[in-house]
Amino acid sequence: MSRTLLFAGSVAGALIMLALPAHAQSERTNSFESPQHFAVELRMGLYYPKVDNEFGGSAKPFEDAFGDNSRFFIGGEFDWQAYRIPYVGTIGPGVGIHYLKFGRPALLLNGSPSEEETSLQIYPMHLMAVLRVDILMRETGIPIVPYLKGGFGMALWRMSNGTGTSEVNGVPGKGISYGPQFALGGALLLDWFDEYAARQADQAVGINNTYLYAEYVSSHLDNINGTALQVGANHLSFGLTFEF
Amino acid sequence: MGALSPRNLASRGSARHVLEMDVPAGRKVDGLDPSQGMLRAVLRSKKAQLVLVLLACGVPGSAWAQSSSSGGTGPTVTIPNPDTQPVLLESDNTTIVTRDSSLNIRNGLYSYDDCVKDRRIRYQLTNSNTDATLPLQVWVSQAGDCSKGVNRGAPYYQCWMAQPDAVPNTVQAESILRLQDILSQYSSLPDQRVVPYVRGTVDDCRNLNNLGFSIQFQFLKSYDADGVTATSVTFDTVGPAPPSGVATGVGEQLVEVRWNLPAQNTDVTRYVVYCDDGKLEQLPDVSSSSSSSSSSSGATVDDAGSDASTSDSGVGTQSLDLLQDESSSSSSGTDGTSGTGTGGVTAEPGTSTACPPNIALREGELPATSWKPCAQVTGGTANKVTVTSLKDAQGNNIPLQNEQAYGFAVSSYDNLGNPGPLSAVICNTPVQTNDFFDGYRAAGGQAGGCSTVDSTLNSVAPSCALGFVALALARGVHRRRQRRAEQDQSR
Repeated sequence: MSRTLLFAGSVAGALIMLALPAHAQSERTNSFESPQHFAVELRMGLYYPKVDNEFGGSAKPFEDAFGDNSRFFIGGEFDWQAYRIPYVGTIGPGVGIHYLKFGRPALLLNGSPSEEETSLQIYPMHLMAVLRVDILMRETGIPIVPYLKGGFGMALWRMSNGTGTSEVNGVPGKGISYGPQFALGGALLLDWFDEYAARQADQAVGINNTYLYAEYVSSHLDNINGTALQVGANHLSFGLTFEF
Repeated sequence: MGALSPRNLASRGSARHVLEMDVPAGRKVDGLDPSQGMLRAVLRSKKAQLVLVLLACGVPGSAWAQSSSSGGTGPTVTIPNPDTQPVLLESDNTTIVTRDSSLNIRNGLYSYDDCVKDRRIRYQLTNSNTDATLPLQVWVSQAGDCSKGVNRGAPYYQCWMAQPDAVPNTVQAESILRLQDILSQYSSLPDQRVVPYVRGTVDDCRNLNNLGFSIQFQFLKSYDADGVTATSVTFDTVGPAPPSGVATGVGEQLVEVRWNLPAQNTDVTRYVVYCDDGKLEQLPDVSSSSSSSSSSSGATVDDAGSDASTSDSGVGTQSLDLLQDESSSSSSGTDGTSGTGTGGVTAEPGTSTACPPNIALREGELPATSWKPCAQVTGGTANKVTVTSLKDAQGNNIPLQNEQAYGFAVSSYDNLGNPGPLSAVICNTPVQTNDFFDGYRAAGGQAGGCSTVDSTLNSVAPSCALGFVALALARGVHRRRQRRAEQDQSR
């Protein structure tokens, strides 16, 4: 499924780019800048899925198993800045993938911890439209770029124990959850602190801008049929963005 | 074959004349025996001695003239390309053993595994001898010069034969030696080495801690041999000390085995866990049963299995102090758990576990080569492993069962593949646990059962790669169009 989505996204993006060849270059402010069409984000943050929401407060199997502390995730996002909206910024599709894992000792029947680990691995992914409003940065020099993302989120998940994927009555503990996902964030242009280094990076490897970003993400991965493991979360993400 | 069986042994008197005497097979041979009357008379005559010396020096065909390898006139045997020899062969005398190059094991160094598997070493020699009556023999010693008759027999008995028959007398001669034969008389006292050749057994493989042996090829016609070429091999068959503090913890159909790492550096390259459900000793010894002709790799832990007079016997048992590597012996220790049972077998405290009946694992004994490990971890820094199954005689995985007791012991292996003695034996029993999915389902959760997750996960990486390729392609096309547009403008 994800292969199809990614491939479709890539092909669609490629068609948009071919149709709009020159727009992304039209507002280049600096004569030394190389062409800019893409962005890559190195992402990290803390994540606590809304698994227990499924039970409406009547039970907390996730909290019982793993506690109430968030876990660290890492990931990446690739954006195609397919179109530059005049006097606004860039817009295009972005795909991202992340990984995180919750793990704790499984409990013996007497309630004491065993040597066996029970775990939940989650691979959150998304395909979203990304609007980066960089007109302020380009026109006024204020090194802040706000942005907005919206689209489709999906997560593969797997519950494991000491012998592999967990099973209950022959049902394996793995699945896919999906739903809408949104993000709102701001990026601080690091080039502003050292323009010479920024220019060198552009000339050497074609990186136009480097940002430190922070964003709030809200994903509602509860599926349409409502039987999904609700591994979506409202969380903060931060990291670095490179435009090239 | 009898002692110093060449029909004639030369004595060496002051006249250096070759004297021949018949020696019955198996009889001790003293060096010089001037007791015969005629001989004594000859030797007492100074004139005769002078004549004989002149004769010996002047007669090229005399045995003594041939015996001096330094003289350059006698037959010679050499080992061409000594850096690449000998070649290690399997017991079929044909298949070359290929060692893992990452282990960086030098040529001429052999392990317990090599020895108990009855491996051979092959020398390819260049032989200048054309005298078909001059046998080329292979002798072994730790320190003695086997060209000297006094070392091949009485009074010193420093040497023994590495193969019963002479090497075929051809220009490109080949000598294949059993490693066990090289070791066959190492542990015998000198005056027990009455018979030059004794077939080695797996019992000879034990307790050799980096010991070197000299292999000496020589033409034997006179009392002192001729054309000697010597090379050396080394045996290291002693494994590292077992890990201390072996303990276990249980889960559902699994047992985690953990141990303490030694405080000092050792040559441990992996830890191997042996599991016993009470049927370990019933595993057939495939290696020994498949080769009855040679002593071979049979290994048992039967206390009565080490009869030195019986070839093809098992490795037998060895005590811990004999087996552990001296270099790492200080790292051994006692098991930190309580509840030691008989025979060094320990039931894990805090559980209802008893050890399975007929458990074959014994602390301090070498693991039998017929046993199949239930888990192992490479690298000397790992200190735990999770066991989920053990293996049957065919090597199939048999999952551990809840509520069934198992025994566990750990052996350290060095880079040569030498196993150390077993650690303390710990018993434990897997039990049912509640994992997250159990709790989720018990609470009424419905998710799960998607069989496409694995394939989807596997497809993520290629999908990403495909996406990047598509993007790169699009960007390339875009740039080409841009360049074309710029060229059009410039025109």
